[in-house]
Formats: sequence, C-alpha cells, structure tokens
Amino acid sequence: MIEVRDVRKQYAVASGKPVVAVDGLSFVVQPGEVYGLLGANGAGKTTTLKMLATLIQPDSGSILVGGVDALKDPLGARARLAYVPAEAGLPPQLSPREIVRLFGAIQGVSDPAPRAVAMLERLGAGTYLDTPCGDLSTGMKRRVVLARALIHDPQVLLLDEPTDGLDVLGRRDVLELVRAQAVAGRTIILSSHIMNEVERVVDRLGIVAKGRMAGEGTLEDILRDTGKSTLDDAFVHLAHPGLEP
Amino acid sequence: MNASRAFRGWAWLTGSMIQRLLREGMVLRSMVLPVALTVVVMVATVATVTWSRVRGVAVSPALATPEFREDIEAAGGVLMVSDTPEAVVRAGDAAFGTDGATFWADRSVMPSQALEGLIRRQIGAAWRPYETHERRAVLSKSDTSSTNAIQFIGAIFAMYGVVFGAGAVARDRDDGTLDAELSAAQPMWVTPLARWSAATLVLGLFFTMSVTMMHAVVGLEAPWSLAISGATASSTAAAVGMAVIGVGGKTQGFAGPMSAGLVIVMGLFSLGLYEPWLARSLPVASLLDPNLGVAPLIGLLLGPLYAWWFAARVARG
Repeated sequence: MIEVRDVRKQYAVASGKPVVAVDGLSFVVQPGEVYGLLGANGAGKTTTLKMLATLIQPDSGSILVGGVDALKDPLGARARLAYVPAEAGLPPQLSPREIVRLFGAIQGVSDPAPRAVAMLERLGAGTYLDTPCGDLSTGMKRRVVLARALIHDPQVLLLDEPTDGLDVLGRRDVLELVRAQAVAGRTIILSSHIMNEVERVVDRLGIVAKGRMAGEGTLEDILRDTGKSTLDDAFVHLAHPGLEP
Repeated sequence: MNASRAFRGWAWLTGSMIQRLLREGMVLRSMVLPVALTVVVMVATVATVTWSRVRGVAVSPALATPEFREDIEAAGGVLMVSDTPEAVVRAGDAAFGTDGATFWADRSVMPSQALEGLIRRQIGAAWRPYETHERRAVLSKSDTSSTNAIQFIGAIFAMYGVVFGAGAVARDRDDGTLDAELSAAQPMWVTPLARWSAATLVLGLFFTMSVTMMHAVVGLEAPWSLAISGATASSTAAAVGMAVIGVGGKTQGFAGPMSAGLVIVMGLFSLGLYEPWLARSLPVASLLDPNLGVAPLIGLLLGPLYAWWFAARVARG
C-alpha cells in the first residue's frame, strides 16, 4: 500500500523565487490497484514519483510505502518498491540478461542469474537475452525495464510515463503487463499525460495541476463530478479550467 | 546486514561499470593509443639514430692491433684500416680517423665520446674523455625523455579521468540509469562510489600497463612511483569529473561542467610544474614528483568523499 499525506516540495532556482513542484498532495493506493497520476508536463508527477522512490526528500508531509515510513527508513521503503523512470535507463553495452541479473544482485536476490532469465522469458524478452540493449527496439527495452523492476518481487511499482515513445502495439503490450502486475497483488502508480491509455488500465486516478490534486476517483466518479463525457474534457475542466471552450 | 548488502552492491556495480567501459571501443583505443604511439616513436627514434650513426673508426695499419679492434667493437664501432684515414673521414665513411699523429673528426655526425676516448687512448693523446661510470649512451638519454613522456601521458589519463567521471554520471543521469540504481535497496553512496571505483581501476590498470611497457622498452626513472602517482591522478580526476556534473546538473549541460573539471585537473598538474613542494603535496601534481608523498593518498580519499557528498545531496533533494 502507498499512503501520501500532505506532501510538499519546492525547488530553489538561481533566478530567485522558489518553484513549488508539489503542493500538499495526498492520496492512498491499495494493493492490487493501478493508480493513474495524470497531469500536464511540469504538473509535479515525476517529482511525486521520485519522492515515493526516496530519490527526492519532501519538504513536509509523510509517505508510507508498504507500511514503511519512507522518510525515516528510506532503505526499507526502497526494498519494497521498484521505480521505473521515464527514460529506459538501459546501458547500451550490456545485455538484458546482464542488466536484470545486476539488479537482482544489488537488490539482494539470492542466485539472481536464473531468476533474471526466467523473468525476461516471462515478460517476452527471452529471445533477446544476450543482445546488447543498444540494439533493442523501444518496446523490447520496456519489457527489459519491467523485468529489471520486478526481479526482487517488489510490493510497489512506480512507473513514470511507461509507454513514452512506444507505438500502438508496444503500448498495448506494456499496459497489459502492468495490469497483470496489479492482478498479482502489487500496488502500482502510473504517471502519464496520455488519457486513453490511462482509461484502459487504471482503477482510480488523480489529476494533478500545479502540484495540487485537482480531482481524484474512478473514471466514472470524475466524469460524473465534472459533468463531462470524456476524460480529456474532464482533465481540461479540472486541471486547466481557463482553457475550456 | 546493510554493510554486506552495500559491499555486494558496490562489487556488482563496479564490475558492471568496468564491463561497460571495456566494451566501448573508443575508451580502449583512447587508453592504449597514447602510450603505444609514444613507445613506437621513441623506439623508432632510437633505432633511426642508431642505424644512421656513422660508426666507422679509420686508423692507419700500425694502430690496428687486435686489442684495439676488440675495444672499438665493444663500444659499438667498426674499425676501418686505411693508409689514408683522413680521406675515409672526409668521404663520410668514418666518424673519426687517425694516423697516430693527427686526429680527424666528422663534426656533421653524432659524436661518440666513447669511441673518441678509445682512439685517443690508443694514440697516447694528452687528453681524452674520461668515463666515470659505465652506462649505455642511448638509454641514459631516453631515461629522462621517457620519464617526461610518461608524466605527460599521466596528465592525459587524468583528463580521461575527468571525461570518464563526468560521462559516467551525466549520461546515466540523463538516460535514467542512475535513478534506477539509486532507487535500489542499498545505501545511496554505493552507486557513485562504484562509478569512481570503476574509473579508478580501469584508468589505473591501463596507466600501470603503460608505465610497465615504457620501462621495459625505453627505461624510466622510478617507474613504480610514476605508476602510483598516475593511477591516483586519474582517480582524483574521476572524482572531480563526477563532482562537477553533480554541481552542474542538467541546467548547465555537460560541456560547461566538464570544462571546469578539466581546468581544475590541469591546474593541479600545472602547479606541480611551478613549485616542487606542491608536486609533493597535491594529487595530479604529484605525477611530476619522483618521490611518493601524501598526494596519492589524498587523491584516493577524494572518491569516497565525493560519494558521501553525492548521497547527501540526493538525500536533501
């Protein structure tokens, strides 16, 4: 489970006034649930995910990851989560087998080599075990990234723009993989600015604008509350009311 | 528990970084080529000078005793017996010539005082070069120049250290590798320390191999001191390269911080040229000091210090 309470983060900038990236955000995500964090570029989605992954320390608020206080015990929180950045983060000189085995080893998995192969095969990357990652397609890289994230069987999966750069088929594959992870009982947060992919995969979603939660609930809740017929329109209504026709 | 996990993570990440570095053809070429070219040029120079040197010693028949011939040949010369030794020297076939009364030397060729000394001794000349100790002429010349060459190759390796260090952080930060590693269940200092360790080990290994090759082929003064100073200069530079990227961040790009790192490292080297006591005390500058002081130790401490600083910065957000 993930519990975020009144989290705030601002960045100092050289030009003067600090920039507030996240401004009192709160939400809860249950095990087996896919939670979509929706927002325009710069809304605070990546900062939120990085705070959950303990890569950035919030200025105030509290974060529980799998029952562990991420601010007091970041190492304990990291042991329960996997963070998948928007960029693939796969060194082009290494093969999928080497990368997933490496992450298994540093995450404390005993005998990581066979587990890495099994994970890659399960996610459909078995035929590219020893191909340098620099030679893989974007879709295959996403599979490897997911295998790397799942190698230590985390309770929580944090996915930052997981379908960025993928074609229609690749996007569908990744979303199915994400859904399967939720069915397996993991707590998943997925950030995106692509509305139709969010509709397909999430159980609940939060719309973030200027670092604040502008709206939260199931798709039906949000459509009902805003009186709109599509998520696109509901998003604009909640996050950017000034832009409505 | 945490210590063993940190050590395990460090070992795996260091190994992985070394693997990545060694799989990049450009990295390998950049480390092998400077010393290979220097050695080839020095050996070719020595070979050319040796081959092109006029080694003939022309003497009249009365002076050409078997003992004298042996001495000349032992000194690398060729004894030429002629009734007109002056003509042989003027024809360019011999560097020196004598009929016992007059000594001729071709001033256009590289002189050999060893040969001249033998001739003067043979004819009982009033003065002759005196050999204070036995030494191979070519090697004594190259000892100094090869040491200078490896010191400058060490400076090149230090610049590589900046590039390796800066690249290892900037590239992995921009493509998400760094975030993926930092979000793993291990202390945050492990990731930067592994990068610095890999750069130190790879650069140190290749620089030590360079020193060994140079010493084997052309001879060096204090080769082990040079190897240690050079390896730690690279490790210092790698820490500097990583630190400037840590400070620079995405907003300043890559070229600006890396240039700053290069200026810092070359500044350290230049200080060693300027003041000998600085060469004894400062990492990188210590490349220019034949004696091992505290500088290499200081250089090695910079890596862990950088890793601690990096982790503290990330933790602060």
